[in-house]
Amino acid sequence: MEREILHVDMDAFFASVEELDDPSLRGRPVLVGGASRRGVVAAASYAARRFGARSAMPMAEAIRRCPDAVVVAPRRERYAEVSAAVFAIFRRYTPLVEGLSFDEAFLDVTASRSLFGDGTSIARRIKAEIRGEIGLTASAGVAPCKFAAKIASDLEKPDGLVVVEGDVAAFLAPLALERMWGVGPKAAARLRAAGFATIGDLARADSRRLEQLMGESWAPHVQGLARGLDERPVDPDREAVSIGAEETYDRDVVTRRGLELCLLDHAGRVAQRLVHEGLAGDVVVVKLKYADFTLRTRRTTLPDPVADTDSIYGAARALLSRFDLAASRDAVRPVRLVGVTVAGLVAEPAEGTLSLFAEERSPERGRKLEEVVSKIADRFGGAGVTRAALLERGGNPRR
Amino acid sequence: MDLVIAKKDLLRLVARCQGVADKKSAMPALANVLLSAEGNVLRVAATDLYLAVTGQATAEVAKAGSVAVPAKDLLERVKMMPDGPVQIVAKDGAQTTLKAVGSPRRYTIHGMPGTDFPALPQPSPDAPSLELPIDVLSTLIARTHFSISTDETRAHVNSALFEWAGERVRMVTTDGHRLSKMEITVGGTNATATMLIPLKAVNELRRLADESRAEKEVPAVRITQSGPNAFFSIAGMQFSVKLVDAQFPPYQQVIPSVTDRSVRAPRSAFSDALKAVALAASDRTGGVKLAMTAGTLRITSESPESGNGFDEVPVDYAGPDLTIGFNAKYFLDVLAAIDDDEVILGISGELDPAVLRPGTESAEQSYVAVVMPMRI
Repeated sequence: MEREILHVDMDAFFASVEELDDPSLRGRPVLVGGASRRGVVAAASYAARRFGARSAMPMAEAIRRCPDAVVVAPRRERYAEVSAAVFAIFRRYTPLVEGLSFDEAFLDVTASRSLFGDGTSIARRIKAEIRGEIGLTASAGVAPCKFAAKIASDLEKPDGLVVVEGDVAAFLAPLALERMWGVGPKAAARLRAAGFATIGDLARADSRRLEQLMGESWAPHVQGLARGLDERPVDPDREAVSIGAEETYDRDVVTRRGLELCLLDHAGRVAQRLVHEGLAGDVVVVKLKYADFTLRTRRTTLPDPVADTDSIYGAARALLSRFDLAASRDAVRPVRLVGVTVAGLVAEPAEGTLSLFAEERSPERGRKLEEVVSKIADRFGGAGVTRAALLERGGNPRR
Repeated sequence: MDLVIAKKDLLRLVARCQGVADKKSAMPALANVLLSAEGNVLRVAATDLYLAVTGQATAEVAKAGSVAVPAKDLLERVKMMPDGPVQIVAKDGAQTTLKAVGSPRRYTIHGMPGTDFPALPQPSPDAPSLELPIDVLSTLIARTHFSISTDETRAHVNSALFEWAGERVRMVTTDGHRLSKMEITVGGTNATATMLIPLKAVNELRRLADESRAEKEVPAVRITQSGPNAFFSIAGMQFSVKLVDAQFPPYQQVIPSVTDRSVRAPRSAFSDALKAVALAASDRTGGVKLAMTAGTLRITSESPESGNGFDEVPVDYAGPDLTIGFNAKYFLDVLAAIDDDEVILGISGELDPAVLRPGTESAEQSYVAVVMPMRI
């Protein structure tokens, strides 16, 4: 039986939530992102996009293109709340929901059609419910496979609905090859130079020629997709592969102590999210972006998954020694962005072997501490309790 | 620099050094090995600023000098040289040519002046120095290295404690869940030393000791402690390590001096049964249950994902029934490290540390492993 897959993607999600909550913003160019001139745009409303502002663009650049834009600081908790409401609507129609992020998901509605009608009517109903109950718009694509559904949802944004009926390859053929998954800007330029322009060109290409251009392992996969062959199931158990926190600072961090405090702050935020989601991870990654915009990451693997601030901070701090920081003995190369990510996520670790040394600071005890910190924050709001070391930085360290 | 050296000597030196060279360091110089020629020897060295290794071999030196070249590149090229003499010439302190004497095969490598390579630590001339048979060092490491914590963020247990008191040398390691301690009497010595040797250095020492045993080279290792470093001379190689400056956990306190029950088990049968049952244990915890009844040790694993496993081993045990959970790997590591026919497993309660000892003890050697249980 032919499958029916929906890809639903919220339109300019963060910016739309801001417009929803503050009607005075509606229709105006809105940029969500680090409220400083050095931040990066997390989302741009459609009004802002008309001026050329895009997400992931440096905020300064976006403001230059769109001087009248209203800049709003991101409120992740609020987006998570709205996202949960959106996903609840998805789950009315099928349990097979694979979330890709806060604001987009694949839905396999093959088995739901006898209850709710075909994929197109389910997509219409989902869009109507998101608009009616939440007040936001979404774009949807309906197709027999994930790849085509994802491309379809993007074709008529915002508030679009594109249905791929029958021949997937014929639907894809006229589209520009830049829309392909797995074809980055460099590969696209190479393919263009070799005379390819559309997905159809890739589908028809001599497979050996494509292998020369894209590599032996990747080319067959891309050509398969271009021919509409995509058997990947919608996986409702797909989980976040990593949890991270990062921040671009108003002023460059120029001391080792300053970097350590940034790491401690991020480690605390990551630990809180891990505990909140019931996860732990054994890979710790530190990311630094220097003032000259060069980006470097270093990672380490711990013997066991952890979810507490001390363990994450300890690993992150140790990683600092593997960066080229040296400007002088105490001063470091100026750093504009610091990030900490925990990957290798697993569900909360089962209770393992007991500790030999009772007084040792242990990850298990650290985890319990995180749970208490989380409860205090939930109950009293704001930062709740924080580490004394972070107070010296002034302001609210857990914005 | 201009010299000629036998390929096999050069290969041996470069191969031993390149393991220490740090290809990922923020300091590019550390991915190099330092070649320095003086008198009639070529010296090869590498360091990652924590470990340093130096070796030397006889060479015909036409012109003294030094150069640092990428360790991996050099090793690959030396391997490609035909057997026989190899000529190394460094020009302007950096451009290095490697040429097989009597063959047209040659390489040019871009290096950097030897003076740009970090200075290697040297022991002060009056630093105390000890000599240990290489077999003793090998045994100390072989019986304890597996319980060193692999957590690089906890330096005090990401290392092995090496102690020498009078005639007795000792190595102790722990990862917080288990501990191993090996002691050996070295007759006729009298020394005092305490050092925390980081895991990476323990692995490197183990390799050097095993290699020199295999080649039946000098049977002793000379150990010198000087400042923050320890220096080991094994079979013509000098190896130095920056010791960990931290407090090893109070290990004596967690080794039970007596246990309520004791099970005498055949080592290889116990090990085989554990291995078989652990196959079906949960990947995440590796947990198995040991149930002891008179004359029998039953081993079971239960996992919602991978099903169950069961085996039993005849043992010498006469006490009351008791069931206790362990990570099988912790036991298997110990059982693989000792070579006695029998092991003695000492247990008190379900939440108390278990003790594994070899079936026979001697005055010269004493080994004990402590393993904490899992809640079941």
